[in-house]
Formats: sequence, C-alpha cells, structure tokens
Amino acid sequence: MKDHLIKIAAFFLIIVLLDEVTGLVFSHLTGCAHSGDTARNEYICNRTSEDILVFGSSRAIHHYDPAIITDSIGLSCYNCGQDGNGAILNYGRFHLIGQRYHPRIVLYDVMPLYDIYNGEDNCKYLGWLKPYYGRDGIADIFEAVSATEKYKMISQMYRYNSRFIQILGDCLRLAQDDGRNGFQPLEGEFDHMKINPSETMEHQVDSLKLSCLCHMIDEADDETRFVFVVSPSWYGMEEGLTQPVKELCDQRGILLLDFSQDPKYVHNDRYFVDGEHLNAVGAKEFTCDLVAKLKAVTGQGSFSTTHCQRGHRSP
Amino acid sequence: MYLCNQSKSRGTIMIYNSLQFIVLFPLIFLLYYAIPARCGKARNLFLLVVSYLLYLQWKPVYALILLGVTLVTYLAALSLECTQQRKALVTAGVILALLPLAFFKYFNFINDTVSQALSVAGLQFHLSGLNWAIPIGISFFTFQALGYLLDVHHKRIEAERDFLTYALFISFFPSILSGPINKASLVIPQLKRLRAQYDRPMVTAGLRMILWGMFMKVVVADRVALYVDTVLPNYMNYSGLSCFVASVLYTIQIYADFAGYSLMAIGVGKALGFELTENFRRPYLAVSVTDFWRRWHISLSTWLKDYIYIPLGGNRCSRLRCYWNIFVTFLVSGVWHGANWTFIMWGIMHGVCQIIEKMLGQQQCRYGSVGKTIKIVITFMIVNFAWIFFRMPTLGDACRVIGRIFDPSLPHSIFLPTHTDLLLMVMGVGLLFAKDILDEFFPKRCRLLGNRRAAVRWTASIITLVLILLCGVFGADQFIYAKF
Repeated sequence: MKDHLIKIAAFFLIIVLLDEVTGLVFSHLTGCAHSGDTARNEYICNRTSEDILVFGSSRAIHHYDPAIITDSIGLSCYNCGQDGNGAILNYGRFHLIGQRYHPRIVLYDVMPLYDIYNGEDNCKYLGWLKPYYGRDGIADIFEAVSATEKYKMISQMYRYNSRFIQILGDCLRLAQDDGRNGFQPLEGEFDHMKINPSETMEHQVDSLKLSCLCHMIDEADDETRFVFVVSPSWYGMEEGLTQPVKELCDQRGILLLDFSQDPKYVHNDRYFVDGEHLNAVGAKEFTCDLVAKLKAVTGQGSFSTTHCQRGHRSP
Repeated sequence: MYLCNQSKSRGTIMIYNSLQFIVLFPLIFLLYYAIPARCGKARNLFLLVVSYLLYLQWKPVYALILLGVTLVTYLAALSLECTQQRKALVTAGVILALLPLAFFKYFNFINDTVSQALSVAGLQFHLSGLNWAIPIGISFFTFQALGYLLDVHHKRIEAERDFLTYALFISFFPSILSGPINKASLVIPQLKRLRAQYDRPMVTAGLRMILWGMFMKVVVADRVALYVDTVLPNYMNYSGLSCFVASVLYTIQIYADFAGYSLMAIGVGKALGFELTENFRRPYLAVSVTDFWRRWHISLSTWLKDYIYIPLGGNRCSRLRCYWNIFVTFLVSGVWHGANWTFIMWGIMHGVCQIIEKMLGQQQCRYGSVGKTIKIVITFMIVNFAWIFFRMPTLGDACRVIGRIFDPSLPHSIFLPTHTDLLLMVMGVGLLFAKDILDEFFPKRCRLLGNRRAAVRWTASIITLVLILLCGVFGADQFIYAKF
C-alpha cells in the first residue's frame, strides 16, 4: 500500500511540475500574442492609454465605432467590449486599467442580462481575467463570484483552460492592425430567423453585478466621466428592464443615454443583423447619433475640455 | 475593496466533477484504508456514515426518505421469510417503497394530466401542484431497494439480517446519485466478507476509471453541451442543419455525461475495493436498438428485464404477447426517466423499434463489415432522433425540432462555435470514439491507460489529466441523470 501511495504521489508531483511549466509558458505567450482576442485582452488590461474607453458586452464591441467618436470629439478612443460578458469582467478590466491611468470618459453599454440580472453562472465572466489573477484586486473579484475559485486558481493550467489553443494561434498569426481600435462591426443583413417571440420574463437583480458597476464608478478618478448607454435593440427593450441602472445613475448623478426605444431603430431591419445586434451600417448610424446626443446633452465641446462636469440627468 | 459576496452555501451533493470531490475523496480513501481489514464492520460503518453525511449535505430532511425506503424494504424482506402471505406482503412493501417516488416525481404530472382530462369532459378539478425539489437519486435507490425485495420474494437471495450492511447497500455514496442500480446479489456479499487490506490492482483500475470518466464528463460532455445548450433551447433561431448537428451532439453529450458519471462511480467503488455493476459498453457501436439496450444503462435494462419483462412472460409466450411485453417494459423505462410525455414517447419509440427489429429478425447483424457499419449508423440515427424527445421540454418542441431538420425551405447555413470550441469539441469527441472503437474491435491491442508498459501507462494517464485541466469545462455542471 505504501509503495502504491508513493507512486500516486509521484504521479501528482509530475502533474504539479507540468502545471507550473505550462503556467510559465502560457503567461509568456499571453504577453507575446500580437493578434486575436489574446492580444486584444492584453492590450486592454496592460497597454490602453486612450482618453475614451467603451465597455460592455457584444453590443458594445459591435455597436461603438471609436473612429467616429475620435473624429467627432477629438479624443482617442478604444472599444473594450467583450462578447458574452458584462459588469464582472468589465470591472476587473477597469480595475487593472485604473492601476495605470484614468481615462477621461467611460462609455458603458448596458446589457441587462449581463450587467443587472441573474443569468448563467457568474464564473463564466472570469475567463478573460484568469491570466491576471495574481494582480492586485483581481483575486477579490474571483472570491466574490465563487468561494471555490481561489482553490481552482492554484492550478496554472486552469488559468489557461480552454484558451491555450487561442493563445498559441494568436502568437503564431502575423500581427494585423485593422485600425478599428477594438471595434468589430457585424457585416450582413437582418436575419429574421434570429428573432425570438416576445415574452415577458421575470428577472432577479444580481447584487454582485450591480456592485461591480458601483465599484467601477467609485474607483474612477475625478477626471473620469462615466456615461451609461443603452444602445438600440430591434425589439425595443422592455420598459423598466434598465431601472436598476437608471436608479444608480440618478443616485450618482451619472448621465444615462437610452436608445432602446428610439423609433429610428426599433423594428428597423436595415440596421440590424439580429434582434440584439446592429450591423455595420447601424453601428455607424448609432455612433453618430450617440456623439450628437452627447454633445447636445453636455454642451458642444465640453468633452474636449479637461474638466468634466458630473450630475447630468438622462434626457 | 469589498465586493458583495455571492458565494452562497448552496445545498449540493458531492458530484464527481466538483472541487469537493477532489478534496473529499482522497480523505475518505485514506481514512477508509486506515481501518484494518479485519474490522470489516467498522469499515462498513465508516462508509455508511460517509454516505449519509454526503446525502445530508443536500437537503437533510430527504435523508429520512432514504432511511424510510431502506427500513420498509429491509423489514418487508425479513418478514417475507416468516409469513405465508408473501404476495400480499411484497405488494405492500413495493407500494410503500414506491410512495415517495410517486409522490415527489409524479404527483404534478398525474395531477395535471387528470385535470386536463377532466376539463375535456367539462369538469374542473385541480389540486395545487408541489413545488418541492425531488430527493436526489430517488429513482435509483428506490429501484435498487425494490430489486432486493423482489429477489428475496422470488427466493433468489436470502433476506439480509444485518441492517448496517443493508443500509450501506442502499446508500453507498458512489452510486446513490445516478446509479448504477446494483443487484443485492453482487454487492451484499462483498459488504459481508472481509475485504483485502489494500487491493492494489483494483485501486489502480478504479483510479484509471475515475480519470477516464472525468475526461468524458468535463472534456467531452460539457464541451459539446455549450453547442447543444445554445441551439436546442432556441431552435427556432437556427437552421435545420444546426438543429441536426445539435441533436447529434446531444446524443454524444448524454453518453459522455452518463457513462462518464457511471465510470467514475464504478471507479470510486473499485478504489474502495468494491465491484459495482457495469453500466455502459460502447452503446453507439450497437448494430440494432435491441443491441443498444444491451450496452446502454445496463443496470437499468437488467432491472427492467428481471422485474418487468420476465414477470410479464418475457419471450416465452406468443409472439404478440412478447411484443406487448417489450412495449410495456420500455413504457416503464420512459416513465422511470421522468414525469413528462417526452420521456414516455422516448420509451415508446425504443419499444416500437425493438418490436420491429424482432419482427424483421434484425436484432443481430449477420452481414459483413460494410453491412455492420451501415447498421451501426442506422441505429445511431434512430437513437439520435429518440434523444430529441428526451431533450426537449415538450412533445411539441421535439416535433418542431424534427420538422426543422427535415424542412428543405429553411436556409442550409450552420451555426459554428468559436474556432477554439470547435477544435476542443472535435478533439474530445474524436478521442472518445477512437477509444471506444479500439476497445470494441481491438480489445487486447492499443490499450493506453491499461498498457502493460509502465511508461505508456504513465504517459497516457498524465496526458489525460493534462487534457482535463487544459480542455475541460469546469462550470461544476450537474450530471444529466442526477435529475432522475
């Protein structure tokens, strides 16, 4: 029995060694990646320096064109949106960015399921933060999501779980700067098959997600101005769905721009690829409308000044 | 920084792909083997306490149901040996043991069905439904206990007098969640005899089974589930081709999930020195639906054969009666899986297919390798379409998914996951089927985890564990069959 237990222990020792080596290799490769989502994530967490940052889910990444924002406002802009993610990842990224610098404006695209309400297991939002687990403050987010994550994160392989192929690919592919600053427009026409029948669902507020939004606001420097935006939806978003964010904006005196019921977009097939996502034409149109509205609400040119006022109410 | 903490202590039972298992199992393993082999009773008592403690973790009150079913069948079996009215006693015992299962699992279904039937006749009658969780593993431990009682009734085994042994047989933690449904004649003698202090080959085999079972669950089942759970719940948003791919992937998911679980359960049993019932034998290489049921959920199909099919007359009766017996057996199988018409339809489909195979003499394969391959593919497709009924929430949804698959007017586009998911999916499914094919057709050759050469064995084991850590999906998802 003793011999066998020693052999089992030796087996696990080999695994531990392999685990450590894998962690070192993939940590290095993550830093070296020069294309794809790995490089994008690395850029967002470690290298951004733009004045305006866009945060949010797939609706952020596909809806906000930094080139238009930069042209109109005169400030550099990067789109940090991420498919299938919301407040938890965005807070983590904002926290890492905040350790380097404070952007002047944060445009946060609100997607109720990812930013306000209970949905899938919140662990799924931690994926892009795993390589940065050792960085200051990130472990607290993991702890808040799940008490067991800290034990899983002991394994270096777990940190790169399901992403190692992508990391390798992103290291091997040639660097390509598409000049879109994180924006990924969706080409194509509206697909009616992607429309879900309307149904009113009961939603339960996820206190962790809301607390992440609050922390983003709290950690922002006085120089950083937050603007929450609800970008257009083909369906027209259900009334009251963004109420918790509206209340948060009211309490903190933050500007909220809601395009969800804008008749220009609701049920307008020309601007969408599916019920939730604008196509490239729609994204361009929306970004222009957003900038115009920002200027109208805050006063022409106020964004180009270093001092940004707080306390604007939604129109 | 203070974030609103979400790590609630949820009532869960130890599942094999959880961190809890990784922490607790080595502890249970070491404590178990720390008890000297000569103290067999102490070892059994330790396992019984562990089994109940793990069950209590979920909803403590439901442990009373486990205890109740154990007591009822234990006492009924003992009483059978000293009564003339055996039939009445066994009937009472079976009904009493089935009561919790019927109440928790079928009350709402029966209530809804009756009220719907009455409303057709213009009568209004509806009891308020139950909103209670079903005691975990209830179908499995109830059937295991019933099997024991019926075996005693038919004098296949003697009634067990030692309550500790019997209670452990019913509540043994590796198999209580989702089986296998063990036969008393297999497990009770193992519990009663003095086991070896430490059976090294058995422990090694058990650990290998746990490793491969974990691979099946987290690398294959949970990975393909990402596609299945995207497409099938929203099937109206996807093309027929995507629905078909999702249905094939669900067929793979349910196999990798349930067979993976069973393998881990049997492996845990083996590591502790117990042989449990084999539950899967490469089911998707079956040449007919009849053959499929000799390979799929073997412990349930054996139970149904022994306690439903054979008592009904089996095949030792007229042809028509035999067909009826097959039909009833698979109807019961459908009902056992859940209180929903979809499961009943799934059971009926399997029953009807087997009747047709029996009529056409197609239960075996008498063709060459090409014919055999064709039969394997046809069987896979039949089983695949039956699984659609198993997966979808209503009969209407299942029919609509099948309708979409065969609707030529829909676009022929296909939903593709990310490149990474696609690669990991192909890799996992490829390895699973490669292993199954090698085990089926070259059982002596091409063994990796069980190779005679230590270097090959170790390398294969290390690679498997590395693949689990790098490619597994660790969302701590429940096993599909845990809900039954």
